[in-house]
Amino acid sequence: MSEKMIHLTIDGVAVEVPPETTVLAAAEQVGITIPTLCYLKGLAPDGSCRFCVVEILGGRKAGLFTACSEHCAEGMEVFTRSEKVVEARKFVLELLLSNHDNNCFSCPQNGACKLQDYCLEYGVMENVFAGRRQDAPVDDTNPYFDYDPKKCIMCRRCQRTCEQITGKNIISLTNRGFATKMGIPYDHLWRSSNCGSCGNCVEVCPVGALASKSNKKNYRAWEVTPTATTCPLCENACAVELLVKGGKVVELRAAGVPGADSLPCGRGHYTYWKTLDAGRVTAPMVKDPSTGVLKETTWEEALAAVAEHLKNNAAVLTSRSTTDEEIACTEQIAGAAGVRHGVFGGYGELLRAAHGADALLIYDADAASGCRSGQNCSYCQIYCDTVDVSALNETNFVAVATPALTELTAVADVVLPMPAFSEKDGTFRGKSLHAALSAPAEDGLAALLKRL
Amino acid sequence: MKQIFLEEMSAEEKRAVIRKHGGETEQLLSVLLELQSLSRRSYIDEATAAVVADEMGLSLAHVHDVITFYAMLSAQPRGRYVLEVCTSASCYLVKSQRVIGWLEEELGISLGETTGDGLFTLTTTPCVGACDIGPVVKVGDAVYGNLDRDAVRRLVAELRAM
Amino acid sequence: MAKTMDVLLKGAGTFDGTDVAAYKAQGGYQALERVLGMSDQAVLDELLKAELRGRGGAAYPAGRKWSQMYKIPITPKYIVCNADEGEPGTFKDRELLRDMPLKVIEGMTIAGRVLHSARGFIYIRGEYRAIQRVFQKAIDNAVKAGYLGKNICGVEGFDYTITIISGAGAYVCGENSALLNSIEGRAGRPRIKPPHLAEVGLYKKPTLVNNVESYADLTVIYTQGADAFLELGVPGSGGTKLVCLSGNVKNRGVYEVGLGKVTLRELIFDPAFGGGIPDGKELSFYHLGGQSGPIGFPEQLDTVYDHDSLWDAGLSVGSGAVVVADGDVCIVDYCRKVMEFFVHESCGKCTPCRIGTMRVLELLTDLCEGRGRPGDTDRLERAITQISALSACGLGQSANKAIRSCLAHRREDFLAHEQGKCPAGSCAMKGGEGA
Repeated sequence: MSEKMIHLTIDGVAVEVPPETTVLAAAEQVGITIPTLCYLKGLAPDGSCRFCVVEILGGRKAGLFTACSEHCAEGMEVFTRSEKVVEARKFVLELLLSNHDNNCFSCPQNGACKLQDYCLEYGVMENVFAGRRQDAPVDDTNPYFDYDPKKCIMCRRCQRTCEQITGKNIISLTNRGFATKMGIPYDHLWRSSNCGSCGNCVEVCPVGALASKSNKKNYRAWEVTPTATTCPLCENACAVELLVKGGKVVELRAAGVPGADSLPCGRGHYTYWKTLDAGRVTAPMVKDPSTGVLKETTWEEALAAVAEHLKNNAAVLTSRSTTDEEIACTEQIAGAAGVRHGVFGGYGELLRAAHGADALLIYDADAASGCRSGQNCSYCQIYCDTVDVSALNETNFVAVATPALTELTAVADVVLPMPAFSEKDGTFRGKSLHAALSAPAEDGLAALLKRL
Repeated sequence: MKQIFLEEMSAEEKRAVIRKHGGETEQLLSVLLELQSLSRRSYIDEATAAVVADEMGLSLAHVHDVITFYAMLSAQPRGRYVLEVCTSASCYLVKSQRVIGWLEEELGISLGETTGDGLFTLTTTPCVGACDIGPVVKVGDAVYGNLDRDAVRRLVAELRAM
Repeated sequence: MAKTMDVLLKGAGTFDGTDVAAYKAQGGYQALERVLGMSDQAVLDELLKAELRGRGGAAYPAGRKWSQMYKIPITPKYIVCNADEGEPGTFKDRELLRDMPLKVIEGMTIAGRVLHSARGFIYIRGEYRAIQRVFQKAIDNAVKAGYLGKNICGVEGFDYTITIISGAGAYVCGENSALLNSIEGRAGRPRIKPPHLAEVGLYKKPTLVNNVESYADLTVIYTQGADAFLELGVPGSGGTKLVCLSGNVKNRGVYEVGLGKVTLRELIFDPAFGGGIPDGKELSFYHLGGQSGPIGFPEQLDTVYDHDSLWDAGLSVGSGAVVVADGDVCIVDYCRKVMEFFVHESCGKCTPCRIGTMRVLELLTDLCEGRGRPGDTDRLERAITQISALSACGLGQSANKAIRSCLAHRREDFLAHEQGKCPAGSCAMKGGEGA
């Protein structure tokens, strides 16, 4: 059954759309971008910021309507930048600015802020209204991000995301009218809530009200280059972007709007790439038998030690949180050495997989241990508990291939360097990884395979 | 029959109150208003809000949003009796401002404050639909109108004696 | 000679309004019984002929609303009675709910019958908690007498219940979509439209929302007939209207008048109604229809009180409220009180209402406290025009109607305040020139 199409014009351009198409979507179809603040793909339109208003003649009505919610009607004439529209948008900006902490200099969002961008575009250069302001204090008790109600423009994307996209229902709206603000119920500090720090509210905030601490301290939008890649931590395989400044990753964010394809968790957003900051493995290491401490050594010494022990009742175990290519490499190593191969997710599974082996080569791809991002968030279902791996001290020989030093390398006899997920290309769950940086050392497993 | 206050009720007793209303989400406001009327301090504390959320299958964020949105509900403790002076147009025109002054005198507090003994909070309210007998003050479900200085004095004395 | 009518409130207070037998002795339930013998189309046609305009404030023709809902093929449908009565200066639904609850119930039942709905809801404001208990008693009695519940009046398959939902202090819940959100157990923030409530309403189902007085009027229409109902009023607006007089007027209270049968002057000054201004003062202005309505002035007093006549004069019936102000009242200060109300009641969802009303309040407060500057009146006008054009719901859209009518008729008062002067002599200008 064919739908009766609707015909309208937007800024004089003819458009044809199926019924129940919004003016915003119809405009996008013909390459006309209507500015928005509260609108978020994946959420039902809110129609609250009033910034996307357009002037509509014809159809059955005339006047200003929000493009995000208004459905196209036959014969509509839409004007997205008439004088009336521009005046209206200016008024909205003036109001928002009058209730906004204008200290852009120290704001993490400086240079990547929709409010800033639109004020420049619409010529709103100063505060037209002096008066009462939202003055609730900053809550910086979450370990990874800060919340500043003085910058909130009440688009409520954060609360809607927490309720409808992640389904966590942590963020509550409090009060009504001018005094409305977001927050934890009963005015608790963020750290005392059940928030798992997934960070998606931070991602969707169009201004600096919710911003990561890394953003605030380490970088501004114009200093970083994004590299699109895939997070290989868990089955969700979120499409992400790594932001790099000065040869280091400073942030991970969803590629596009957080939603079905990409809903990074707290670990993905905040701790996964950060564990590499300290204790990076940049050369092969071997445990000094007299001191029990790992010290750097030659490739020859390290690889020889591993090859010697990889036989009979040994096992090659790899984290599943890595590329198909690397897992294949570990399988080949096991095959070449004639030993069993296993895959694990998290140290708990590792211990079970290691049971009975008297020698181990472990590929700890994500330098994994208990998730440091917060309480059980049930995103990856892998890393909620911190596991004690000291039982591996009983094993005769343990070699660990890893990008960083962890409690696992503490029980290792040999450590081989590996690239971090930000430093390799590859395939994961049908998606691609792209290196954002180069690894500080040769690929340890590849070197080992070559030797065997 | 001795009054049991919300603050002394067990979670199970609170659940019993909630269930009396049938359990449908559409009765949420009735549930909250009743629970609040049992509070010594005219508010819904966090523990009670959590019981309501659990019993009615809602998130705490949702229940908190509702409590803080509606003017008759409070998430913060107030006095046992909340004296609400109507200051909307019709009452304003018949000098509701004087009633505020009289009550401030009578209670020894300023508008917005609560007496030290936790008995009275003095606040304002928009129109309560008693414009024909203004100026009015609302206390709980009761509305007292056509107030003069004596009426105010008597009202406070009555409430103190309860 | 203007006279009060005795139609809707006939007998009110003289009998137990919750008692079915007593109600029937007053002529109650004749309307429902008549409707049960009519076809749906006949009932709808009668309502159209009666020209009943919604009594809550929007004055939308009820017949048209019902006919639109009737055509929607989705079920179930819900009947909702808006008994939030939040509009300051309005206290007429209170009378009906307290003294004639069965009349409202009967009207809602008629709606359920014609629109094939089995569930009615009445959203009664939280400030009327005591009246809610009375209304529940009426519902219970109606169920016992077979006028609610299953197989009403012995008609097989005609099932209908009415549930009371309490408000909790939010004027914005008088806005129909916010009201439905409130019934659904959420904060009362209005919905965006489209979709419209007739199609996607309560629990996403088609929903009829009408005011208490509108439902009560149905009992008159289906007892006396559409022609008689129309005669009570004027062409374009049939029936009587409950008018609420308050403020600086001698005889405050609820008065039932025939639409188009009295003038504003009679309502305020006639001894049968307001009786004039107390203490020998002069009339300064009057606020019609609630805080969201326009303000009228002495020069407009001879306007006839009906929807079209008032609209033509830039005024309106609204909820039926008439708040009277004497010469001691400063109009700028009064506008400040109006805006204070809207700041308190704004739900906070949309930018122009959440922040805009606050800024307008601050501007007016500056004018009243001697901090007025040249150009403030223009700034005020720009702000209220934008807020009205941009707000997402009726609250923000109407918040400035009062100020707009004041600027149209008494702009000089605002200009005087810019200079620190209060013509009414009541604003205590701190730091500026006093009265």
